[in-house]
Amino acid sequence: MEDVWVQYNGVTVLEDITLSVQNRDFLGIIGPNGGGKTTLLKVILGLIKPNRGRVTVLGGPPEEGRRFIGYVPQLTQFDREFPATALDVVLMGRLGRKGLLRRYTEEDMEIAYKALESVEILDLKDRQVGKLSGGELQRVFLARALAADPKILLLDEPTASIDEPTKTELYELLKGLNREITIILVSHDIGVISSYVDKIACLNRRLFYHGSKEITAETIEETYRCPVELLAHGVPHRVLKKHEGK
Amino acid sequence: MASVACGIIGVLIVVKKIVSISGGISHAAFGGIGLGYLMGFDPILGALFFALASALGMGVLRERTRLSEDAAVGILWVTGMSLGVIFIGLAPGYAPDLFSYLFGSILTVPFLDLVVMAALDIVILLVVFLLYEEFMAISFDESFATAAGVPVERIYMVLLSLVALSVVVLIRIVGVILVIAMLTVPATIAWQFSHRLKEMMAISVLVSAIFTTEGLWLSYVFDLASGATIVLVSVATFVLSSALKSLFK
Repeated sequence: MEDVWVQYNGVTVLEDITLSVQNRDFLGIIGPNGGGKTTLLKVILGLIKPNRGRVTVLGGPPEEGRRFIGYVPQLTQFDREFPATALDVVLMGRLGRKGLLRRYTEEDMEIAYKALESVEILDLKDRQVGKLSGGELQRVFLARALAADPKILLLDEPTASIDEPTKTELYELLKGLNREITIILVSHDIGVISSYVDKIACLNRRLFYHGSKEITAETIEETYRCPVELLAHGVPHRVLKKHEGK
Repeated sequence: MASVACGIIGVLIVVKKIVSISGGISHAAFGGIGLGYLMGFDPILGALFFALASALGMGVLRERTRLSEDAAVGILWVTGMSLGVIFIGLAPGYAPDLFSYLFGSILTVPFLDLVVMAALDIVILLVVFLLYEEFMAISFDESFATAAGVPVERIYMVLLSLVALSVVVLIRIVGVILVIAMLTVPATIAWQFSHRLKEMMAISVLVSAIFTTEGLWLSYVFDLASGATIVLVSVATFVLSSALKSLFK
């Protein structure tokens, strides 16, 4: 991604973003709400066209690369009564592969089962989605993304509205998946993020990219002691503004 | 026959929450009925044309402009009705069975309309069979469906067109004004008993078949307007089933 600018109604949301992610990276992007994190993911997916700049996904334009991306959107408010089972939702991940006017095949089913198994909720497959807990739901959405057999996984605030132990389980799960899949994760939850990711970047309209291949989780902790602590005091906005001034 | 259309499409309408859009489409169809009177062709064909045009129009508006869907529905609704009234006013003489288009009259459906209804039913069944998964996906989560490569806008247009077709099927039975009841009540009742899309469709078809039969029988016995009776039977059942459900919860 090079020199990318995005504007909505004359307001600049992303400014001069240059970012490159390597195969099997685990990149965490943190930043305040409204800092453009979701927009950035949508640019990678090709759902939002940047006003300036160039985006390449796996060597091609995002519209083509999209097929190789598993996207886990922010937990949206959906109708808890919606008539779909966990399996139905995971199968939606196969839609891009299935093609229009065709039914799901045996293979689609198998892949969906496998995806459910890999997030350890195969037993919940026939549960109606509205009856799942926040953590279970997040796993379903993760399985849905995995069902597309992705090379890259994009996660938008995957740990919002779930409790601490479940968060840890989810990160462990991602860590395991990271052995084969590139992961880009967006969150304002820097405390937990920093011990799992191997690259980190701050985004608040502009991108402060701090990742380097040598940096380990420990060095991130070192480098970000200050913001981490400040964030714990609950003033993420001020932290990042300070950051900008540097 | 009409139960098939309103049962299946009704479920999709309720699940996708496009009840008011469907209302707009059915009232726009009235413009077509008026045009039919004016030009001297079968009003049901005019309704078919207007309903389809307004469905596609809604889809385009959503895609191309920032006009909120809510407002678009309002505009569509009144435009269709006004056109209908003006066309009928311009048409020579008095429109004899106008009332039946507004409020329905199942006992006077001419043969040609039956053929049209049957054909539309088949189209609806076929399309829903082919695009079932896509309809479910765009109703559940549009942004994911887009990201997964589903042509969401086009699928949505197809859905609105199906709504238009089922509106036409239903106009003869319950009329322009009451169509929306047949598209929502059976589906909502089905939703109280099932959380599986396919099951909901089956229940909804069954329930609306029962309502139509029951309503017709009552309207015959007590000499009431058939369309309105069918609707009232449906609503009464809905209230009853809601009450029962909350009682046993």
